[in-house]
Amino acid sequence: MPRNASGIYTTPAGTTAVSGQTISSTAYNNFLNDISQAITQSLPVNGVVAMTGNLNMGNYRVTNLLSPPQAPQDAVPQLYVDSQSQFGGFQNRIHNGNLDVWQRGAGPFAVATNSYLWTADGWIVSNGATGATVNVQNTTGRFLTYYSLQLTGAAGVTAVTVTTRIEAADAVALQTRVCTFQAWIYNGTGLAFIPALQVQYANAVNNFSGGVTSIISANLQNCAAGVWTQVAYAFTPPTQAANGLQVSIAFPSGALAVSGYIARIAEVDLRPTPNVTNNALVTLPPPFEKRPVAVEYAYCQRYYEMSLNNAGSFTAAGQQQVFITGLASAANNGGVATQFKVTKSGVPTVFVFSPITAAANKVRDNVSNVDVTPTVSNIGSQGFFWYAAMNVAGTQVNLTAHWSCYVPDLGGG
Amino acid sequence: MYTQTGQPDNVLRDADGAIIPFAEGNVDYWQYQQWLAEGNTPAPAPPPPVPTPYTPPQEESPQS
Repeated sequence: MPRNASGIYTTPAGTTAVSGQTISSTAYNNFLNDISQAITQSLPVNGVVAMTGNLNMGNYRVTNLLSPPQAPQDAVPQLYVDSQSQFGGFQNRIHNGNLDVWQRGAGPFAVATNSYLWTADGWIVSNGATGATVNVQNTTGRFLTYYSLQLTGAAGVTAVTVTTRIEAADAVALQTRVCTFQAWIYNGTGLAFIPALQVQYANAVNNFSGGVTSIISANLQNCAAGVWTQVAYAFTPPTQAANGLQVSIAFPSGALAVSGYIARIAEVDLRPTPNVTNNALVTLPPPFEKRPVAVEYAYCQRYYEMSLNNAGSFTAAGQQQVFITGLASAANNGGVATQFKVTKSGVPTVFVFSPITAAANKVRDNVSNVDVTPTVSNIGSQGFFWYAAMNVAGTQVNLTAHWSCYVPDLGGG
Repeated sequence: MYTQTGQPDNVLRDADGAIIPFAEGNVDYWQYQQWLAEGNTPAPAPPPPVPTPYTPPQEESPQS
């Protein structure tokens, strides 16, 4: 046995050379065989073979680890751990990166050519200038999320782009730092395609409609047909990213140009990764951060909120429409201060609509069973006020309304 | 196109019925200002509706 239980190597008995005596071949070979076995059981420094048992560090450190890790099982140095925890758990800067929040409903949303629609919370789908309508809906997620965003193509569909935005207050922490964008993409078409990552910053604070400046437009990983592929790319936003950042996944023209062809997006993440090579594909990005859905829902409501569960069933029981009742009065009107559940990132644009007919800028007079026009005022980041007069003087006041609101460019518009 | 609402702090966007607050930082307001800068003018606020006079139901006369 080359080593004892303490790992100490001792040469075999009878193999120690004695001065002036001939070394026997038996003793010599016993020694060589024993020491060969000992070397074989030792750890080669060039890593050509793996351990065959657990590596007990005996309360010593592994030092000088290379960062960043390259494989899921790699050990990581403290340097890397520190770089990953700088936001206290909220590392993923993309809201609804899990694609689990769909306040506008599950879809399908028909995005006509040369237009765009807000679909899942925080996600804008744009269709090419020419081609055909592309449909968007939620569907089963990949692994860590309940849903994913699904694009369904049709004959003639050209370029389709899926975009999200990061408000200035969050984007400021990304400026001049190497950041890694990552997502999982399912290719449900018959052919492989290569999506592109496009990143822009707003030219004015949280105003993307007023113009954006491109930072990068780079090809992502090749996505084979019929499987999920993780795509990831590292880039460095400039200081102007403090105005707000826009990140898009662009599907190549024609990739969805067959009826029934689909593509899905899930588990989208963007965060600073200081030790990653800039302007390059990333082989192993940090683990996707999935926040609890309750937290993500409130995060989304910072930009978009409505008084009902989704736009498709606003007359259903349990929808929290605003309800006012009272006695007849000289003015015969009623009003209510509506409080948002989540404070908005800015003063939002507001819609008030009839819970019966869905007519915009109307509320429902439940005595005469007609829609009447409300007056809206005092819109702020925490709520607004509306009132309306009954259709017939002297009746009981009984009004109902639904509302929605969005922060333009960040939650809708 | 836009229509005044009779309120000093917002305007109605005709296309979708949105109430746009006069708030710096609201991009819809910024677009409204762009529209004004092009020489456009919002339509005046419609007059408030005049409620129909209430007519109480007539009591049935007791049968003799």
